[in-house]
Amino acid sequence: MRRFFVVAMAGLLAAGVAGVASVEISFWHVFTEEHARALQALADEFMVENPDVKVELVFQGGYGDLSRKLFAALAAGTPPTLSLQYENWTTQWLDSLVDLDAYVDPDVLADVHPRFVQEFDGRLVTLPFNRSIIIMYYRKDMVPEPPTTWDALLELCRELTQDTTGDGETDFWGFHLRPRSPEEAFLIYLEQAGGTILSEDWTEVTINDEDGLRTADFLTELAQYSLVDPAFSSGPFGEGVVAMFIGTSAGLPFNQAAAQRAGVELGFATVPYPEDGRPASQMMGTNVAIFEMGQSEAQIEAAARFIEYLLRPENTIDWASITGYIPVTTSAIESEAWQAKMDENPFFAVQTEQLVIGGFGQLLHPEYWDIRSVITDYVEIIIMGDMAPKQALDALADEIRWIIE
Amino acid sequence: MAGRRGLRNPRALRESGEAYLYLLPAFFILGLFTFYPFVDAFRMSFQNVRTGVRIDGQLIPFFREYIGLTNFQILFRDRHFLQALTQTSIYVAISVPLTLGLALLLATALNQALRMRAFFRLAYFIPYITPVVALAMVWTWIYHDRVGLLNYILGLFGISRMRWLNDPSLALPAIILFNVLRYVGYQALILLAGMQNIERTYYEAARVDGASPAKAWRHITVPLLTPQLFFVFLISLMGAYRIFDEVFILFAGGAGPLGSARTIVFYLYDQAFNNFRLGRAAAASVVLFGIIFVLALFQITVTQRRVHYDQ
Repeated sequence: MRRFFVVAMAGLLAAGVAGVASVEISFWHVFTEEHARALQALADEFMVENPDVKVELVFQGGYGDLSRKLFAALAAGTPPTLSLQYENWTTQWLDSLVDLDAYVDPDVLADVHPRFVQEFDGRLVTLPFNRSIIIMYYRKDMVPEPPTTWDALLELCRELTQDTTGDGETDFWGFHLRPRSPEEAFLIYLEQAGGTILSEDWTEVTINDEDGLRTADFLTELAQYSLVDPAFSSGPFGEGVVAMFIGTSAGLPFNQAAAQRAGVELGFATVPYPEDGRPASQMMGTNVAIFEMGQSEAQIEAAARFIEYLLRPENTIDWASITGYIPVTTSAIESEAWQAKMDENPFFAVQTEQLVIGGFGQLLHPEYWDIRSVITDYVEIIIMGDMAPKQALDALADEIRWIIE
Repeated sequence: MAGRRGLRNPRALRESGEAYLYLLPAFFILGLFTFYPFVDAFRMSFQNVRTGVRIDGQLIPFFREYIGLTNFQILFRDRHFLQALTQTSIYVAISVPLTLGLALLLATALNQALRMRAFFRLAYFIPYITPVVALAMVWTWIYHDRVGLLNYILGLFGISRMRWLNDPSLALPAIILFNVLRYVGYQALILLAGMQNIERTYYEAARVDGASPAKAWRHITVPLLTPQLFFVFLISLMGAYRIFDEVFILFAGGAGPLGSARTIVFYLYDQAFNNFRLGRAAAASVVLFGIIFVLALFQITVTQRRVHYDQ
């Protein structure tokens, strides 16, 4: 009833001032060039449909800049109406976010692909917008058939890793491993092996159990046939010194350019997993959320309408086809339009498949940044072989235990 | 003298009043952006600071509550902070004397009647006026494992590739090398100015007494250069403890292999602006302040006695 009243009031007010928008909402984002134009086009169309709402899109720099600006804006009590955010930011200001199930049409919520549904402390405060997922990239001349299992991956890497110039130093590697990217270097494989960082209720640290150990052993072996280098994979791939790597699907333009530099054809595949494990891969990219602080009821309602609009199948497909992100609703993914896109472009097909078969998100613990940071340390230790896997995982578990206490 | 007279003399009072007026804008800006944050950081180090928290149904934009010494307790149990503390101290202990020593030798060389002295002076000064970010970007390529200039040159001498930025034992030396080269010219220039101020008569007297140039350097140049040496030492010590930008660029926003390039300010930055733990970051800044303060005090009280002022 109250919502109806607000909408009616907003409508009346809009009519009263003859076409001038009565509600302004701001949306903070990080997009440039083609991505920014695509988002602006979506917003423009929304404003035609909703003449009472003015959507102001505000570019805030990179993700790091955006997080700091949001933090500062919140401290000042003046956050935007809507913003993109990573899960580990959401956990920091969870209290100031709007419960979306109170505003967004239940049918729209039900359509969000289940892999993308994330609850923070039992609340639904974010919905997916620009989501990508980690997939495997490879060069087609060296990898005729991409490996699908850990064993096959290791075997192929063993074959490909070579000293081509005969100077005693390896100069071509089967795989590129980024020791300081815990998602790419460890967490995906852990999830595939059935392991987790913490128990479901977050009271126990489980990263050093059997599954964790198996993951670490796999990683130790993979490292032997990998170029271990913290640079983005597009670097060494472009130099033509590695055959395969895993990385976010959002990195496609960089990886395509790298393949061109190396003069090779770029292939896409889902991430290899253990035969008795799960085909899991970590989802990247951000969600969208509405801030309660400093917003009027009309603004919150208009923002919810804008989210509903962004999640319409035709819009999420449009956005995905231009940007390379994944459509975020079930109806969009299963639509004929998207199926046609996938038939046309193997990249769309691979990343959609990867999501459907095993997309998983960040651990939503409020101390995740610190947890991730110590995981990074020990993953690097394991990759460099500075500690036995078991010993490293036990030490890691102790540190995580200390953080969550 | 002038001040005391000023209080009684209306004209002087008016003049000094005017001076205060001129100082006001700068004081206001410093107060707002330097003094207030300085004091507030102390307060914050004893607080838990959060944004957008709901307390009794009320959304508080900037929530601060006193939690005593908790931030400091966390800090001294945090392996990352202890690592940052140790590594920064090692960095300071090596890079400061090394740079100063080289600068002293360089200044001595530049103080000779060299040909193209002006050119050398400029050449050594350029790294200091080049923005650190630009320099560090260039050095990420110099240090590159596979295509870097440094490894190429070492390769010419048959030395195999070093993983400068990716080997935990080389990260700190890589930063030290970078900064020694960056600061040595600047420090040498200050020392050179000091050397040129030393009265020639001392050297003439020494020569008459039969002192070798090396002896003259040891017993005239160095002692009379102590004010400059002291100044450069103190300034570079304080600067070295605050090392951050070059680490941030050289290691692409990370803390280097196994955190081997993590410094105190890097830790502080990471906690404040990636982890949003302002209280903990403030506590780290207080510890850093304490270290620099104690060192400066030690410097002033102990070293000052050995400084010769030429009057």
